[in-house]
Amino acid sequence: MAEPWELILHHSYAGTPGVVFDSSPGRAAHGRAIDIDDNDFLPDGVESGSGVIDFRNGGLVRASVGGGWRRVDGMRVEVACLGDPDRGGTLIAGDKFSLSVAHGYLNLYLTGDTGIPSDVVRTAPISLSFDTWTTLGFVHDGFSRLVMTQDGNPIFSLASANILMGRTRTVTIGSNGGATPRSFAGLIDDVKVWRVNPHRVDDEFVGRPADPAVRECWRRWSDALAAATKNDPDCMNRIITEIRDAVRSLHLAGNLAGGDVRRAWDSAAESYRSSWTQGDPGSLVPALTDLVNTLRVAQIDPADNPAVRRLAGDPCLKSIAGQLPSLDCDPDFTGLIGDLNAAIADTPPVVA
Amino acid sequence: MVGISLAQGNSTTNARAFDTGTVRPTANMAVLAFVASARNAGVATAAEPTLTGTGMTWEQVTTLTTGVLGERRLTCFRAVATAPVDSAVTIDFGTQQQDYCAWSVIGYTGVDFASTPDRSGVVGSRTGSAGGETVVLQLDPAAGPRNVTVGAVMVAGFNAPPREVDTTTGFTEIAEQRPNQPVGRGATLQTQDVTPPVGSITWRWSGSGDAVAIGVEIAVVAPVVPPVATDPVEQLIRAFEPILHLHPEEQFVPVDAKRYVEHAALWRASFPYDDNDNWGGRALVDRDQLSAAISEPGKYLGDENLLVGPPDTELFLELGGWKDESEMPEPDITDTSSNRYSGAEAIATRYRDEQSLRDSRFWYHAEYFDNATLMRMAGGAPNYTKTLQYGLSTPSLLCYYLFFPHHRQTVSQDGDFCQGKLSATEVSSHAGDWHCVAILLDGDGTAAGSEPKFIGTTTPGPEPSAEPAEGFRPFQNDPDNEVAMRVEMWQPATGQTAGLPVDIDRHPQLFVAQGSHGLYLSDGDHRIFPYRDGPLWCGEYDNSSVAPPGLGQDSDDDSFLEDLGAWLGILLASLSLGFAAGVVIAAVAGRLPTPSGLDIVGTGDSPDPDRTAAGGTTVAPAGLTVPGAVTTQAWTTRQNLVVDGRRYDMKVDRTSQIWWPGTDGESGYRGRWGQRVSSDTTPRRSGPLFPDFVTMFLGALEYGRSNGFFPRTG
Repeated sequence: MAEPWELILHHSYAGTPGVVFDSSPGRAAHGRAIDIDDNDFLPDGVESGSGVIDFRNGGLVRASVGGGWRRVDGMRVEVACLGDPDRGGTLIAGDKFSLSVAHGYLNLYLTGDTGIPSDVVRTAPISLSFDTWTTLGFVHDGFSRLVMTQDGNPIFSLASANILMGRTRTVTIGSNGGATPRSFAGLIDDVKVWRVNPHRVDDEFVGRPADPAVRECWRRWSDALAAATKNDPDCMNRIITEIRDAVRSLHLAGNLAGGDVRRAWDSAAESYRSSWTQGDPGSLVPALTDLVNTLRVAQIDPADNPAVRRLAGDPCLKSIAGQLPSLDCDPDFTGLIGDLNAAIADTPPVVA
Repeated sequence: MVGISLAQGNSTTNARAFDTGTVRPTANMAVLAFVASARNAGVATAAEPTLTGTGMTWEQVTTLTTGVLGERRLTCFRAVATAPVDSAVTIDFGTQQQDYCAWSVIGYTGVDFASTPDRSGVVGSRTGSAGGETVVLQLDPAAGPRNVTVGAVMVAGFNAPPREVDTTTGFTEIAEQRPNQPVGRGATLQTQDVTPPVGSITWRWSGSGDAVAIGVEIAVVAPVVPPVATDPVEQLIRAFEPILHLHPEEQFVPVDAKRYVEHAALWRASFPYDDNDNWGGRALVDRDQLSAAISEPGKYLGDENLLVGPPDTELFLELGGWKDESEMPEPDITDTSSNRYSGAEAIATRYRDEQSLRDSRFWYHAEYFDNATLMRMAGGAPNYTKTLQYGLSTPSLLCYYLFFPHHRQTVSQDGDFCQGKLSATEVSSHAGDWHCVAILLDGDGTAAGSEPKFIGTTTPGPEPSAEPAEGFRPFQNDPDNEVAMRVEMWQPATGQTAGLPVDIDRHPQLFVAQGSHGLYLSDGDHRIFPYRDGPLWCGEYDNSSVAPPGLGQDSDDDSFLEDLGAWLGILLASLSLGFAAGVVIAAVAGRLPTPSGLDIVGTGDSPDPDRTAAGGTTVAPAGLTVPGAVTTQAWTTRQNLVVDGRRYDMKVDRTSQIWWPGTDGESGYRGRWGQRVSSDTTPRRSGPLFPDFVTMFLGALEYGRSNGFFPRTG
């Protein structure tokens, strides 16, 4: 199953008072309760027995971050809470992000490893009280789309959050953990943090039904790729960075171009998943051709994107490609590229 | 005690004499030789053979013939010597030419020569014959409860290839030779043994055949009863020693880790560790040259020049070498060797044929964490001190560490597509396999004053829970996701694990999965979930990428650049087919679905279930009777056992025993307990590190507390 998101932190505060246990599959983000009395671990929250921490007396939870936090391109966070909407305070914070409440607004701060501009600060009005539990959070897709949510509903959206978060080194809950702590004036129940599943794209790609000959074809290709990398690791390192930049740059350009382009991207992506997992790559060509036309209407030429041109012009790419065997043994795959290329060439640019 | 195959073979060349190849008996080893033969032509009865070689006098125990004219013969010989030599054994038939000959030479140590009048160690023998598909050989009542029954059968088919003979339940097969001659004149020679001795042996095979059989009883010296422990910790360890039910087809048993170290080679690998060019070309210390104690012979493992290496390097132990993708052994690294998989068969051979390794079997190491130590360890993040205290006044933890020389874990063997495919059967198999039985005690720390409250056992992955319907039983993985510690209450009154573990005098009975050595409280098949990004295509890919993770990185500090195989595949292929098209496809593939997600069904391989079964060897405390056990083997574990100037201990001492990771987080051996193999980035086919079983136990205990499996009262 290629799930889009991977849960990397799940604190429920339902266990032994004073013990902050991470129930996410990796079990690697256990927390330490700092300056929180055991009596502030309360049994009932969103549900009876679900467990909460009352942060009104201060303190914070510091989570261990390693393993799955080493690469967090995109992030999804949900914090179930109730509290004082005006006093608010920090729900969850890390060295790359912060989600807090103040004066009736949810505040989100993101910063990235790369890209210009590298910081995003956004606010959105929320409803928060001591009477009703609510879940506040945000979703950042790792490329550009950003949505802040309350109880799963968007309360703010941004299509051009040019942030690549990268490695996260610290995470605190209930306070920012800084020199001037901003403790949350309320109670926190479940805290969940997901990262964009770093395996999703590859998992879907390899997940295409394929006969043994095609598998053997890719196996030979993979072996040759490993050998080519061994011959020149620096070259491969550079290409990998450029590939990531190129794909990300295209996504950003598409998202900035308006709703029609974003919808065309989403539609094409859905067709890709459908066609690919059914073992019918050829049926993708019309959807991809439509996407190319939509991009042209929006004055976006993928081949003319600076990051794509940088990649295409890198001699490393040609050098490594030259060391790899042909993929003609996977005619469905090569046919898709060839057919789409022909469609692009045959379709005259649309004048907006 | 089981026999050691010193030689086996066959020849279909017409001859009057045959050589077995080199036989290497040791001093005071009782050696049996079984010879199956058939005369070549004529009407005479098959001649009786005589044996010479190894500097020993070979005496016939018994012989009998089969066939209408007595043209086929099965013979048993015995020999013993204080100073035997290594040489071939010649099987001589005098002037009569033989059509074929097969032989099995078996050695036994620990034989009670004094109990037999002729001081041969052979108590007696019986013969039998039958036609059809089975032969039953009735034996004399055993002379001693620890003796060994050795059986040999010769089956001749009718105008058909030699029959495949089933190993009798409870026996261990030693040899099976099938010399095949045209028009069905071949035969099968099969030998096997079992201890304790049995009253009869039944052999079965498919298809009709004439069979003759010989059964021999070997006298075994009474085991040295371990001295009664006076050390309170040793008494505690002995009081809760586990009982292991091994699978009937299990190849590896728990062994002494120190002796493994002494017989292994030590290597240093540099990043990327799964490239055999980065293993230094040869071992830092060759096999059989390591010492695990500074005062003992050999190169000391704790030498700073060995333990401390440059950044981005790691150590690994190797015993048994490697094999390639066609399963050809690769004992070393060469310019052309692939070193793709660990050499399980070579490891098994060493444990079968080398006395020191053989004697190290059925061993465990034990470590006791008293209340003060345990509470101190539990105080680290996320602070499990309170987790330990519910309902317990003075908790302490007793850990039994079990080291198996090899671990076998497969995928997708239940379907036709991947069945038997090497990449699927080797996908998570590796040399070295650490497991643990952890018992949380409450009481004063003495054997009499401590009650078991929880038990933790390790498996390759968590197991789904029957209650609630979703999720897993309480568990905690090690950071490398190699092994999971599962914790259950000790004999709860109700629930999925009610009454478990079943114990005998507080010794918990555990069922050991074949190959993986997962430890279970109940017998049967167990579904496991060992992978988070699992193998694909019958294990040909270790995870979901056509490009290995870490590709192109020059350090293992960061895994930032990974999982770009799809984009690499699309863009590199599109260079010659249309780069613009490739860019569009790559970008579409990278588009994240909406947060609600899509369920994409991949083609991930299915982890095969862990399987336990009754009928194999039961390893139990000395002198304990285990009802239903077919073959019982006492733990050989001792404290202060001295062999050839080396000392072996059951109790773990992380200060003086250098092969354990030290408590300071830096000292001690911290390398892998099995060879690195090539093309293994995950790494699942390389030997594991020694896991932090205590932390895993505490995490699983808290999971159980947090999720309603265990009470939070008291």
